[in-house]
Amino acid sequence: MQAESPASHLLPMAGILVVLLTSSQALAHRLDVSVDVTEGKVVVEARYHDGVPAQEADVTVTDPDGNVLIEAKTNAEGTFQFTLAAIPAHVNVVVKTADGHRGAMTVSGKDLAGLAGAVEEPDRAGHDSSASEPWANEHSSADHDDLHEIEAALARIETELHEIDRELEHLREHHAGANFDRGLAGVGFIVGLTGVAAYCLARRPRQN
Amino acid sequence: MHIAEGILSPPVLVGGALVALAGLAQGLRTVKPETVPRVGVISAALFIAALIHVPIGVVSAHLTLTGLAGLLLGWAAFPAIFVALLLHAILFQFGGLTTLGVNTAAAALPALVVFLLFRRSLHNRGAWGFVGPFLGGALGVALAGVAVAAALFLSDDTAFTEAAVAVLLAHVPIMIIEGVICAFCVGFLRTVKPEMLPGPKQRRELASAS
Repeated sequence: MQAESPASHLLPMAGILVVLLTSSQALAHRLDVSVDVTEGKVVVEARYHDGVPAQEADVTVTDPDGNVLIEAKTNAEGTFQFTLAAIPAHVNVVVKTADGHRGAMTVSGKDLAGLAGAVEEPDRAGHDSSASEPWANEHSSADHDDLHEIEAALARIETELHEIDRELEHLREHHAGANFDRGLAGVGFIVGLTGVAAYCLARRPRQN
Repeated sequence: MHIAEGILSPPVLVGGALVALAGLAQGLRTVKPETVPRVGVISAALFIAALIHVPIGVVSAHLTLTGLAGLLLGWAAFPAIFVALLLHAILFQFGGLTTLGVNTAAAALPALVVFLLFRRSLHNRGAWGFVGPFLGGALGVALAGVAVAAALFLSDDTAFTEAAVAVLLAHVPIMIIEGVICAFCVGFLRTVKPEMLPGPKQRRELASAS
């Protein structure tokens, strides 16, 4: 029987582990799906956990009864857009890649209500503004220009908020997934498990 | 190569779990006190290796170290791979708990095949001592890819061609990388720490528990 102490085993492999741990900037292997309702469209975005877009992935949209509403594939950016004629209580969006990854997301009807709202909004902002707001009639056209400027600024702010929202979502996903701490925790778990196994096996010969 | 939850059909999940359980039982029987640390270290290496990710085309691939685990562990690759995949599922949501059996079998069976084919190259100091582990590392990835494609096919036979092509093509560069890593790891251990590579007696133990 070969005499091998645990320490002599661990040293070279520990060296390899340190190299692997410190070089693992890119972490992988989960499919994250985010769904956004914006400008009258539903935008589905599928990314692998490290931010690489899931291209050519199958997207299936179903209603609460399981009826398939839409089937399509993501584009080169890993996104897919669609609109719905009727809004169900909620829709399930499932994204599957050819290599066996899957991500899913449920969108409530409340969020989908933005679909109808976004389409109507430009009309109201356009020609209804003077008629529906009595105070606007009493002021000069300079105030009208101000109003339009404010509306334009609001629209810009909304777009920017939207960008920030997306960034926040990505950050949250990143935080929830693979990171150095969890990697270290996993290695620690395995070391502990090895210790327990060694303990159990080491006691046997002594008892006999 | 982690198959996520909700893709495979129940019979495939159960079948994979049974294969994994049988392999685990056999693997644990081969573990002797002096091989315990090796199993633990390889398990930790497998756990970390999957976090190193290589983006290739439309799919996402990562190191597996399946071949290296097989060469060093034989049947004991089952428990090492099982623990690594369990932690992937719990800590990183890679794969899933229901697919744990299928994923374990898809990685550990290739590891076992690699061990049986290339174990004699471990202590060879000639060219075979490099070529054997290289082929072992590459074959481990290829067979794991075939196993994953087969599991996807058994669940949904319409997805097969697409899935198989995507999985296998993505893993050609990974096969080469893994082959090189495996060959250098074995070469390094043979020079620095030959007792870590299973010798003839240990190889018999690891090949068949009795």
